Amino acid sequence: MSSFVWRRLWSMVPTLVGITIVTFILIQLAPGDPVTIELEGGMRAGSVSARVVEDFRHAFFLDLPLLVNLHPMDVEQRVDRRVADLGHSRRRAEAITRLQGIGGAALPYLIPRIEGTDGDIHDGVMHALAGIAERIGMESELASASQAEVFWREYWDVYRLDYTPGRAHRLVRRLVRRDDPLARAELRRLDTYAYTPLIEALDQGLDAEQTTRIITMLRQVRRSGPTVNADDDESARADTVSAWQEWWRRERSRYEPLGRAGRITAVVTETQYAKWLGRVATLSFGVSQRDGRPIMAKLAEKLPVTILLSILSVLMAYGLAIPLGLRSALRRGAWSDRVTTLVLFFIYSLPVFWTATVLIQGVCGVSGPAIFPLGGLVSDGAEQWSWWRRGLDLAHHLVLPVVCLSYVSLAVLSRYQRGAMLEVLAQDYVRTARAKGLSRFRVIVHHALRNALLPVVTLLGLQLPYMISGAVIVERIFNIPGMGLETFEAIRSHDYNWIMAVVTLTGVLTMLGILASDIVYAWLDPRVRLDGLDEGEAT
Amino acid sequence: MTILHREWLRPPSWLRRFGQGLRRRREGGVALVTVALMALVAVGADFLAAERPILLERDGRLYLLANVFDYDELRDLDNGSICGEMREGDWALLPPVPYGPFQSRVGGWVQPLEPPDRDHLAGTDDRGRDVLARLIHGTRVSLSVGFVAVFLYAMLGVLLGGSAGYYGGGIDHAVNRCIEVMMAFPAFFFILTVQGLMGSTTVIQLVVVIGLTRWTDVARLVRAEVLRVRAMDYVLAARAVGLTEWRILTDHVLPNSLGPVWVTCTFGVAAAVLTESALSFLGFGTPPPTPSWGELLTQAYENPQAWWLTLFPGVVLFSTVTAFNVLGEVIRDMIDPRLPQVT
Repeated sequence: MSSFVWRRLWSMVPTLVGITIVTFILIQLAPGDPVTIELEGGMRAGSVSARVVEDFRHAFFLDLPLLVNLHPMDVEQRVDRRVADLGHSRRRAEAITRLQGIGGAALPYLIPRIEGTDGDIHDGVMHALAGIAERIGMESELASASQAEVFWREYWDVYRLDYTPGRAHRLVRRLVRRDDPLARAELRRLDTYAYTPLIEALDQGLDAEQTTRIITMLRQVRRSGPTVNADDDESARADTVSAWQEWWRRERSRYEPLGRAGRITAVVTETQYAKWLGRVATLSFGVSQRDGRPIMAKLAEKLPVTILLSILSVLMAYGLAIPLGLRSALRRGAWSDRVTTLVLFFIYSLPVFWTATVLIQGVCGVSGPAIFPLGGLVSDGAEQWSWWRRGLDLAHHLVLPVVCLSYVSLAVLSRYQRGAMLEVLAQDYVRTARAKGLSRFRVIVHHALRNALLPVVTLLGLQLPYMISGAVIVERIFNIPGMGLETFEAIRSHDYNWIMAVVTLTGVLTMLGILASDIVYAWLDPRVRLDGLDEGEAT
Repeated sequence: MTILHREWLRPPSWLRRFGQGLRRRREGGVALVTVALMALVAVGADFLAAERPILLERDGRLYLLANVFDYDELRDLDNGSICGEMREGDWALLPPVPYGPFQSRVGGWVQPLEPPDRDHLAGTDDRGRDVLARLIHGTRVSLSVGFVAVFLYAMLGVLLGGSAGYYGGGIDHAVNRCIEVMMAFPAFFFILTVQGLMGSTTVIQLVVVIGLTRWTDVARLVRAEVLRVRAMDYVLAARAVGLTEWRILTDHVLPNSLGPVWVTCTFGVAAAVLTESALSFLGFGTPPPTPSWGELLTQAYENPQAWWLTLFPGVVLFSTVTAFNVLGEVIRDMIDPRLPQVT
């Protein structure tokens, strides 16, 4: 048994890779050319702005090569490229702005360029350096061009050692320990060079005050970005921290050098696919473009609702399907069997969204009696009620959604149950049991039922994809704040981060569901685990 | 002395077996008629509901098929205005439903959300368009999405599943992995998100997305069947006779493996029609203003008092889906006569 489980787990690896590849292809399909999106968006609700598309391109690193990056860029190469651009009169202005934008992290590569360059490039470097001096609050030292050269040379003699990872880390540690104005001033001078240790510090289990201190420092350097307020609670602070980490994940290659080993691995890692793989592996899907909250936090809130709905629906489907199917099989050919089969067949063809619409109109008080609430999960003012009354209220709200989500499964499952039972009843061992003179009850329950339940129970894993799909429709119609409704809204407002996260996670979840049902099947039926993994070769 | 006629050895033709299947299950006939009617409506939608007359004699000029072709002189006119301006000697042959699927006259003589009456047998929608006309043209959209998508994925499935089963080895492995990966995504949810990412731009895009997502069932079936048939003695005999691999595959293996595909595809049309309308219901299916059953049901959801928007599209959708499902069962009985007692 364990060898089967291991083999099956191993076969999951290529599937997982496949899932990331398919989702990666989806990213490529996504918004395309901002201009067409703009045009098309104008005609639809929730149009896409150029900013959203830019965000998307940035978040998914769409400016990197797909699979292999022969020229990975780090801060050093960015500086080199911009310095080279300084020689071109047309690109000069932009190069200066970009160099100044890199800030303190550019100094280790920019200051040495004062020597050995002349003419336009030299002027440009000095120009950029002047901008950086302004950023780090040293503009007063630079009165004239000749003074500036001397100033930077001296500055670099004195402070060169500050622009090393060890020193920067030490400064940040000091700031974490206490609100040290000296450390703050020095970090201010390091400017963007301090990003790496500051962001890393956020990960080290700081308390509220320390987090606030680090984020204030980060905001001083970046001059914008999410902030924490004194009255923020734990989760709001966590949201801010993850927003910063998300920002850093996108931006770090602008400020960090790769190093020698990093340069080699970057051929693979600094690519769109590797970045996507990294996101999936660390479950860092970023923040929702709809409300700025981290995707994982939102999922943690929405997923339980959908899971509750699905579990109740699956339970209801099985709870009704098994007895119905068995009954039909035992009374095969009787009119009750025929009616059940026919009704289930029709039910199977009823579109869920139509049934749900009719139910809303019929029994939710729109144009009929208000037996059930119109939607949502809780009534207004339910917070003050006692727990059992809230439970009843929840159940009341869940009746119609669960009915809508379960009836198709019910029809399918009871058909299977009927078929399985009929097949088992025709087996020789059932005839033998009957011939031995066992009671009808004993034959049915002990000999037939156990074998007839097997194929139906193993269908459990396959209910998961259906439930996920159905949840979108049902949650949309009944306005239930779960994953399905959120996905619907995300698609409407082009929240690509949410869509990508959800499509990846549902893929992984479904795969795990199928895996679980395979393992259960193998556990229940020894024939499966003794055969090969591929069912086709076994037949 | 008995003479063996060749005819006796030949298996009954497909048509014959289908007829037998229909005779055994009466509801199959009803389903077949429904499907045929639906197909007729889809093909002849322009002759059943159109903005302009089929034939028109106006000012001494005869306009042929004005419902299909655009005539410059008639551009600003429709059935109503043409009949209103009739002069001596003019005549027109109007389609049974004298409204087009896009024709909307809010504030004019057609009101939005008008309940069914003599002018509009199925009422009007929230933009004053005739619901019956939109249903008729929606049939064309739904059925073509259903058929083309299923055709697409059947081709893909037979190609991939067939080569996996027949050649085995690396191809088999690769195809199996692809199937496993695609099956890991909940089909409808996946199609929905793809539509959401790309934006619902054309009907063709929807068809392609459905086709590229749902091929796995067919591929699995064909693969298993080909594996079964490949081991048959007659394939060995064919090889012994010296037929080429290609000939064996196309003449002996594939024809004997495709039976179950017909069943899956018939159920598949029902599923694709449902997928299309559910997507359109959510607003991510066919792009507006394409007439679609699902889109009408969205309006029903938004305007709960308009019962005709719920009833008519619902009935049409339900009967189409049921008809294809019944047909699928009949075909399954026909291919595997052992099964009928199960259903």
